[in-house]
Formats: sequence, structure tokens, C-alpha cells
Amino acid sequence: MSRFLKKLTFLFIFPLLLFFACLEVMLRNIPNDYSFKRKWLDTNAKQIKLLVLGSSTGYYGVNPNFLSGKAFNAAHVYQNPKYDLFILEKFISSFDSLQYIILPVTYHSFFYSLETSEENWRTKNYYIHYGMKGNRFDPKLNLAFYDHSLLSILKRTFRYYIKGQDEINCNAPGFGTSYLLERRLPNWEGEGEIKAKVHSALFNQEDYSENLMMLERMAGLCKERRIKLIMVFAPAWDTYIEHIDTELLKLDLLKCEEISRKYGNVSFVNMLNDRRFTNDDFYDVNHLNEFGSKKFTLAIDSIMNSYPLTD
Amino acid sequence: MNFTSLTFLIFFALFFLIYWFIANRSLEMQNLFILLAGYVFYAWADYRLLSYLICVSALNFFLGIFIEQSQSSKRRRMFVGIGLLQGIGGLFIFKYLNFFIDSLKDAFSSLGIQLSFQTLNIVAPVGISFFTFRTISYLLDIDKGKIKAARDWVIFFNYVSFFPCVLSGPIDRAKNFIPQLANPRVFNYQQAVDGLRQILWGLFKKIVIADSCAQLTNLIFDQYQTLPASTLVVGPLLFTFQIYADFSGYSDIAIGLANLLGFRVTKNFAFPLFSQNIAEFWRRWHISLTSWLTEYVFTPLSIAFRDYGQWGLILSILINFLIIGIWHGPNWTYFLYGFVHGCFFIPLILRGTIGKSAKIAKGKMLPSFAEIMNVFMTMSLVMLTFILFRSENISDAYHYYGRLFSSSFFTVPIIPNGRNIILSVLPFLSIMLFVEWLQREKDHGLQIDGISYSFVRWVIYYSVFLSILQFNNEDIQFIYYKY
Repeated sequence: MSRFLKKLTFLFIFPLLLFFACLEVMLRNIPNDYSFKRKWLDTNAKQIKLLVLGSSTGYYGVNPNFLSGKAFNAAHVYQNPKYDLFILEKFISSFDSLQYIILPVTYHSFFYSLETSEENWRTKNYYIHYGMKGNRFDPKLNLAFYDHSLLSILKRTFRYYIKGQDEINCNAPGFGTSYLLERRLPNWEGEGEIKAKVHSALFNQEDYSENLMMLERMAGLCKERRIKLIMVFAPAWDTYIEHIDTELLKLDLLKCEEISRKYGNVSFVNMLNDRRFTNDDFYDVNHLNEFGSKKFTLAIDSIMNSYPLTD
Repeated sequence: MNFTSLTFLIFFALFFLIYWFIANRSLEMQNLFILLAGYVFYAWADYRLLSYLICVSALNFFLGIFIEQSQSSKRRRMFVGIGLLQGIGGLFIFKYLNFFIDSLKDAFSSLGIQLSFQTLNIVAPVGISFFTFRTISYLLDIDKGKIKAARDWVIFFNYVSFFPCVLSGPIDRAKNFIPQLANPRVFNYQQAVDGLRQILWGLFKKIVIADSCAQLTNLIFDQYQTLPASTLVVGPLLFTFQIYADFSGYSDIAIGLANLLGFRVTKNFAFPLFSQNIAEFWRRWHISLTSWLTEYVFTPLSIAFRDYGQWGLILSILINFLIIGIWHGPNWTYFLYGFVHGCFFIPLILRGTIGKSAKIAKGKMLPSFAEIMNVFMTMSLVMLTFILFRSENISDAYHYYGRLFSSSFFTVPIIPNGRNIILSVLPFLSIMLFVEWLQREKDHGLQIDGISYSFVRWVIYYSVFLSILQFNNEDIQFIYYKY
């Protein structure tokens, strides 16, 4: 028995543990959007006047460089209200100057929970980089290498430690910079039907209610702190809009308006079908490119200025 | 708790250390510890029906004793009958009752009569098909005088719910397993090392091959109505590899785990992809189920029908395979799958070649052309029947076959979003087939104790392990978990 355990431990378990421990440390130290935004907020939260939250629509859609006042984009891909609320609550005591929160909303923003979505691997970023509290024994939440193929992990470490390429894909105020017009796929318009159907299929009543509850908690917290919450239904391309479930869309709009009415500090603007956004403004059917995001941000800026702060 | 999950790894590592270092002070303590661990493992999968497993174990434990103690054959038959009623009845209620009600309603509805029966909202206990077969064979063996009834309830309860095998087999017979539980276990280095190797090989087959193939077969079977026949032929081909790698992978892990605990569990697969005829395929595929049915169904039936000559044998085979088919689940596709496989035996019975088996490429590195053709024909038939097995219903299977045998067979296959998966899995699939071919005389693919250089063995272990890590993206449940 002792021979078996010794061999197993020294020739297999120890080398592997060492290997994975090294990988874990190396992976955690590769700067990414989450670690970058966490660090930025740690040091600059006191100064910002505007905060952008939300999912990829916010991340790629609102460029704080075009907003009047010091702003930061804390949106992340697939970030739903649960994580928006987490970021807000985490830094609320530091947000001394915060006056506005901009929350771009999409057709499927409230349909899913990140934990059960296909992008659930992103949850660990909130635990590892933002210090979210959760099950300490769940490897999915606590280990950076978990749930990724070995080759992809090795590629990432090689890219950073050998080639010096980090994983930060946003600019200094947190805006995602990789959705460029020149990178747009040639048949992007054709994806509208499939994407709309995929997004409709994400709808889950429990998740929907949970997300709305989180949104209401955000609205309540903002009211308490005299922060104006501006929810903007982001523009999407015609081939996408044509195929979304109209009943679900109605429900979305109804709920957003309801929250807006219920909390005096919340405004809701629907720009889903906004004709100012043309073909050249989109990266894909439900995301804007660098030109569209500029237009979108400026539109938000003017909306913001038309909603002065009230008590 | 999936065998491929980190949770199971931690569970088993803790169990292993306590089992060999603390619980080994007495056999009773060790057996009780396996039982408790087994129940934790089972409850993890389905805690609601753990009580069913315990009740089934208790009932069959007492029935075994009553059968043995009965003086009159009438009383014995009565106790055996109660056991069979519980076993088959439990299976029927949990797995087949709703299917039966639906089929009955459909049949009457086609005659214009609407029945108002409602299907029941019941959940089948996980592994019910496996542990029920264990208890049935136990009672029948006592009745036939082949074994003595277990007097130690912990031993018997362990036989029913031994955790490496409780969910998806192998279905061990009491005469093989109960004596092992009754005897003190001594740690055997070679057995433990071989167990680890077999676990590693099982994980490789499950994670690298089966789960990767699953991504493609799911794509093809889900979208078969829009794909050309040249692509549809890829579906059953990959599904054959998927189900083999999935189920034999599970069996390898279960057998390997048992080896680590000092048990020898029945072999379940013997490289069936190299079978030269359908009879040989079934001698190599899901061995513990087929041998169980041969002993308790086919043999009694063929004796009962012996006066009818070859036709009696054909009838026995057909009934046997209908049971194999329907054992997989309440669906006409499985029924038809079993029936078709039974029909494949008819030419073998008529030619008198059913029992003949010649080892492929015996003593040679490569098979002959005739052997290659035999394997090709056998596996083509198996593959075609897997369309039935994989389809949701008969209608889907029918349309799949319809599209498969169409002129688009001669076009270039289109695999939606699957090119990268194919390119990544193909080298590993070739490695699996190559290794299994080389190891076809052994118990499993990684039985490499013949390699004298330990460095080479460790390189092989690490290569297999790293390839598992490469493909280990998410926990995907084993296919046979649902049976």
C-alpha cells in the first residue's frame, strides 16, 4: 500500500498539483477586463459621476469618452442584473460623486441567469477578481483553470508571459474596443433570425423574475443614494427585431416602464427601433460597432442632460 | 456525482484512504463503510429514491433466506414469485407504466375510442434496471441451489448497491460478488495499479472520445431533416463510437474503482468494434447484461422450445433481444432495435454458425481482407440500428432512414459548425482504435504492464491524462445513466 501511495503521490499527484498551482497563479495574474475594472474602481470610484453597467450591449455600446463628466464603463459580457447589483453594492460607499447609472437593456437581458447560461465560466471572474463571496468549495467559481481546455490555458499563459499580450479588451474608461466595423462578418445580417430565436429560447420565468427583482433592488439603492438610473433599450438591427418574440418584447417594455414609474429616479428610453442607427453602425445584429457606439453614447448623453437630477 | 467530476474525485480519494487505513480494522467495519459511502453516492444522484433502494435490498435479503429455508417447493415458488413481482413490477411501474398507458391510449384512439387514463408523475430510481437484475438473479440462483442466501445484511445490501456499479453496471452475479464481500480484503499492488490504468483509459474514452463525438451526433440528429445523406451517414458512425466510448468508458471506470477497493468485477466489454459477426458483437458488448439474459431468459426459453428445433431457437433469440431492447427504456425505438438485432441472428441460426467464433488476426498484427470485410459488414449493421437507438421516436428514425438512402448520399458531407470538432477528435479516435486493436487480447486498452520501461509507461499515463484535460470542459452525464 505504501509503495502504491508513494508512487501515486510523488510521480503523479504532486507534479500535477504543482503544475496546476503554477497554472492557477499564472492565470490569475494575467490582466483581464475584470481585474482591470476592479482595480480601476478601487482607486477611482470616488471621482466618477457616471457609471455604465449591463452586458455586452453596454460594454461595446457606451464609450465613456463621449459622455460629459467623469465616467466609467463597468459592464461585462453576459453581465445580468445580479452582477450589476453586486458591483454597485460593492462600491456604493466609494461612489461619492456618482450621479448617474446608465444601464443599456436588450431584448434578452432579463431572460437568463449567468450561472446556468452557456457563458457560465464568466461567473468565476466575479469571485476571483471582484472578490464576490460564494461557495468556496465550488471549483467552477474559485479556480481560474477549471472548465477550460488545457491547450487554451497554455495558449493564454504563452500569450501573456512569452509574447506579453494581456487579456484587457477595453480602453481606459472600460469600453470594449474589439467590435470594429472592419471586423464585421460579411453575412452578419443573415444571423438575425437565428440569434433572435436563440435569445427567445433563453427565456426562463424564474430567472426573469429574479433579474427584475435585482433590477428593483438596484433602483431602490439608487434612490436611497440619490443616483439617477437611466435604462436604455439598445438599438438592434431589423433582421433581429423582425424575429424576436413580440409578446416577450412587450413584457420587457412593460416591466421597464413599470419600474420607471415606481421609482422616481429611474428613466426608461426605448431606442430599439431608432432610425438614427443605420447599417454601418452595427457590428452584428444586436451589437453596435465603434461608430454606432459613439452615436449611442452621444444620444445617451443628451438624454441624461434632459433628465436633471431631482430629490 | 458523475465519475468524471472533481466532486467524485474528492469523494473517492477520501473514501479510499479511510477504507484502507481506518475501516480496515475489521471486515464488518469495511463493509459497513462501503455501504454508507454507497448510499451517500446514490443519494447524491437521487436522494428521493434512496429509500426504494434500501427497501428493495431489505425485501430481497429476507426473500433469499425464506427461499433457502422453505421445505416445500410451493413455498419456494411463492417467495421467488414475490421477488420477481417486486423486481419486474417495480421496473414496470417506474419505467414502463406511462409508456404502456400512452401506447394503450394511442391504440384505442386509432380505433376511434378515447380512453381517459392519465399518465403518472413518477420518477424512476436511477440504476433501477441494473440493481433489479442483480436482485432477480440472486433469488433465482438461491432457488436453483447455485448459491447460499446471504445471512449478513450488510454484505447483501452492498451487493445490491455497490457504488461503482449501482448506477450503470456491470451487473455482477451474486456468486461472483458476495464471496468477495464475505472475505477479508488485502491490498494488492498490481490490482490497484491496473485499476488506476483502467480508470484512466475509461476517462479518456468518456471525455475525449464520447463527449466530443456527442457534440457532432447531437448536431446531426437534431438537424437531420436539413442535412444531406452523406452527412447523415456520419451521424450513426460517430454515435457508434460515442456510445461505445461512453458506456465502455463508464464500465472501465467502475471496474477500475472496484479494483482499487480489492474487488474483481465482471468484464462488460471485450473490444466489440472488432466483431466479425453479430453474435460475436453481442458476446463482446454489454457482456454482463447479455450473459445475464442468456442464463435467465434465453437458456430456459430454448429448453422450453427445444421441440421446435431451429424455430424454437429463433423464437428464444427474438424474445431475448426484445427484452434487451426494451430494457433500455420505454420507447418503441428500443423495442424495434432489439427486434432487428434478434432478426440478425436468424441467418446465423439457419446456417448453424451462431456459436462459431474465430479470433480476429489471431497471432498476427493485421487482419486478413476477409476479416476486415466481416468487421465492416457487422459494424455497418450495428451502425444502422443505432439510428433507431438514438432517434427520439419511430417517426424520426423512419425519416432518418428515408433521407439516408437518398441520392444526396453521393454529395459532399456538410457538418454544421462541426469541422473543428471533427479535426480535433479524429486523431484521438484513431488513437483509441489503434490502442484497442493492439490490446484486443487484454482486459482493457491501457493494460500496459508488459512494457518493461517504467519511463515509457509514465509518458503514456501523462499523455492520456493531458489529453483528458484538454477535452474536459464540462460534466456530461453518461448515456447509460438513464437506464
